[in-house]
Amino acid sequence: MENKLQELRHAYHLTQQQLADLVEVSRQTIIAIEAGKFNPSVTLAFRLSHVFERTIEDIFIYNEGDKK
Amino acid sequence: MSYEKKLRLRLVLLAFVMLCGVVSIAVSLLFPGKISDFSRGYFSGAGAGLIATGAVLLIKKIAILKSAEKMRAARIREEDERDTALNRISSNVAFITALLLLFFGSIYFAFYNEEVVHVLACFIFISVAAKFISYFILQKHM
Repeated sequence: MENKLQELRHAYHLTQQQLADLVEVSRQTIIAIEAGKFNPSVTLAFRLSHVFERTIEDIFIYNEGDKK
Repeated sequence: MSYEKKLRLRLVLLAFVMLCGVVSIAVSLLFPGKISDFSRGYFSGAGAGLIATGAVLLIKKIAILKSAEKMRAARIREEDERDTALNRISSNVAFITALLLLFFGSIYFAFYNEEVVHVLACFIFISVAAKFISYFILQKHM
C-alpha cells in the first residue's frame, strides 16, 4: 500500500523518532511504513491521521492490487 | 489489562520460575543415592539457570515498574505492532521447525528406541492439539 507518511512528516517537521513517540510505536515501524514494507493496523492508521489532521484515505492509498 | 498490571503479574510468574529452580536444586541435593550423576547435574544446572534467569528478569521488571518513562518505553517496545507481527511470523516458523524436528527425530529413533518414538509422537500430538485448541478458544473471542 502506498502512503504519504514521509511527505507529511517532513511537512510537519517531525523526525521519525518524534512521530514514533507521538503514535507510540518504534522508529523501525515508522521506517517500515514509510518504505511500504509494513501496513499499519486501523488503530495506528487512525493515530497517524490524528497527528496529521488528515483522513486515513489522505495518508494511505489503497490499490486493488494491494494484498500485503 | 493495563501494562503495569501485566508487569506485576510477571513478577509473580518470575518468582514462581525461581521457586522451580530452588525445587530443582533441592531435588539434586536431597536424593543423592536415588538419582544418577547425570540427572543430579541436570537438575542442579537447570535449577541454577532458572534462578539466575528469574532473578535478572525480576530486577529488570522492578526497575521498569519504578520509572514511568522506562515503563512507557518498555510498553511501546513490547506492544509495537510491527514487532508483534514479526514475532508472530517467527513463532510460526519455530513451531513448524520444532514439529519437523520431532517428526524426523521420531523416524530416526524408530530404528533404535521405541520409547523415545512414543515420547516424540506424544510431543507432536500435544503441540498440534494445543495449536487447534487455542485456535478454537481464540475464535470465540475474536
